[in-house]
Amino acid sequence: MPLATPFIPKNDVLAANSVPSQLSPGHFPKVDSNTIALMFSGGIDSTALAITLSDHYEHVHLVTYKNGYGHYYHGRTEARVKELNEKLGNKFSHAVISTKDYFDQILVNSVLEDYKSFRSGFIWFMGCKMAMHMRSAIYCLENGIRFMTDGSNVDTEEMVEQMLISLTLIHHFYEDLTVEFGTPVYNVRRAASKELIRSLDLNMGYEVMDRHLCIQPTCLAGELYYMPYLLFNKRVKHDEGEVARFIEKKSEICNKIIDAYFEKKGVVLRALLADRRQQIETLGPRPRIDAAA
Amino acid sequence: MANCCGGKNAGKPISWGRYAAGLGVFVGYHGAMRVLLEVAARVKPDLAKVRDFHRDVFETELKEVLKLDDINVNGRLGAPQTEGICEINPNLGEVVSVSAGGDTPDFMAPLPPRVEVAASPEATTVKRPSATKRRGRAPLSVGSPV
Repeated sequence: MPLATPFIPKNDVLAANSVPSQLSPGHFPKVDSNTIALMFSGGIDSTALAITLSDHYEHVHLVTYKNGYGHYYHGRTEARVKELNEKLGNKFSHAVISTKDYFDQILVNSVLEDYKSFRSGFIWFMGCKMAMHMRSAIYCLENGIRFMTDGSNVDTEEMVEQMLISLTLIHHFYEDLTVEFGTPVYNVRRAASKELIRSLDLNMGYEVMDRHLCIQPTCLAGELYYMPYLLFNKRVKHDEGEVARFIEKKSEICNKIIDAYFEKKGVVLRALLADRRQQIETLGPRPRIDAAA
Repeated sequence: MANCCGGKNAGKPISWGRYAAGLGVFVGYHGAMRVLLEVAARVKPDLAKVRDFHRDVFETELKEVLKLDDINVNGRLGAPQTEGICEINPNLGEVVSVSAGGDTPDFMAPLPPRVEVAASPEATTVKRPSATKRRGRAPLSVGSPV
C-alpha cells in the first residue's frame, strides 16, 4: 500500500528525563562522540550492554519504545534505569517513546497485504523493530548522537530482527542517515552478561528455563509467535531473502516518515545530514572498545 | 551458537508429555487472544486487520504443530544439527553476500571483552547489497575473535 503523506504525531515522547533536543530550524546540534544511545528494554542483553557502554562513554541515552499493540509493563524498564543510575552514578538518561503511529504506517495498515506477500508472521516483529530503529535514527539526529546500539545477540538470532541479514541491512539504513549503528554484545555469551549484571547486584527477575521473567516489558505478539519454538523446540523458519525484501521495502516508508518528521519541524534533512557528515569527519574514527580496553 | 538460525534449541527432542502440555498452552493462549481480538475489533474496527492477521498466523502455525512439522517428539527426527551451518537461499542474489573467513562485521564493533570465545576458525561477514554473489551452503557462525 503506497504511503502518500506520512502522518507525524504531535508528540510521541511519553516520558523523558534527558536534556531537550537542541535541534531547531537553522540550528543543528553539535555531534558528540562521548555519548551513545542504546535501544533499551532492561532485559539481560541490553542491561549488560548499558553497563559496558557506561565504562566507555560519558553519557548513555537509553531509549525505550511502546508499539501500542500488546506491549506492556514498561515500568520494569524504568525500574532498571533507576537501578543503573544508582549503581553507576547517573550516567543514563531515559526516554520512552511511542512508535504506534509509525508502526501503523510501516506495517499494521497493510498487514494483511504484507502477509499475503511474505507468507510469514515475521513481518509483525520486523515491522515493529523497523519503527523503533527509524525513531532511534531520528532521536540521534535530534540530539547530536553519533552512535546507536542495541543488545542483539547471536544466542537469540532466531528472532527475525536479530538475524545477521536484518542487522546488516539496518546498519546500512542508519549509515545513510549518518548514524553509526552497532551491536556490541552480539558475540557475548549470555552467561557472561548475567555475571556482569549479578556483579552489580541488579534485579535478575525470576529465572525459568534460562529466561529471566519480569525484568523487561512483555510483548504478547512475541510470546505467541515464538511459542512453538519455546514449547516444542520447533525450528523458526525465516527466509533470509524474504526478510531482506521486507526490510528494503519498508525502509522506503521509514525514509518518507523521517523526511516528513523533519519537514514538520522546519528542518531541512539534507542540510542536517550534510552538517553531521562534516562534523563527524572532523571527529575522526570511533573509539573501539575491545578486550584490552 | 544458534542452531542454523532456527534457534539454539531447534530440533532438540521433546517428550510426548511436553508436546501435549505445550499444545494445551499453545491453543489456550492463542484461543484467548483470538477471543480478545474479536471483541476488541468490534469496539475498535481498526483492529480487524490485526484480528485477521492473528487468525491467519495461528491457523498456519497450528496446522504445522499438529503435523509435528520440525518437532522432534521422542527423537523421531534424530539428533539436532549442532554446527552453525545454514542453508542460504540461492535466490538471495544481489541482496546479500555471505563469505567465510572475513573479519568481524564492522557494525559489531565496538566489542566488549568476550568471556567464552567459540573456538571456530571461521567467521562470517555480510556485505552491502550488490557485492559478490554466493550460493549454496555457508557457515553463519560469527566466531571471529575481537
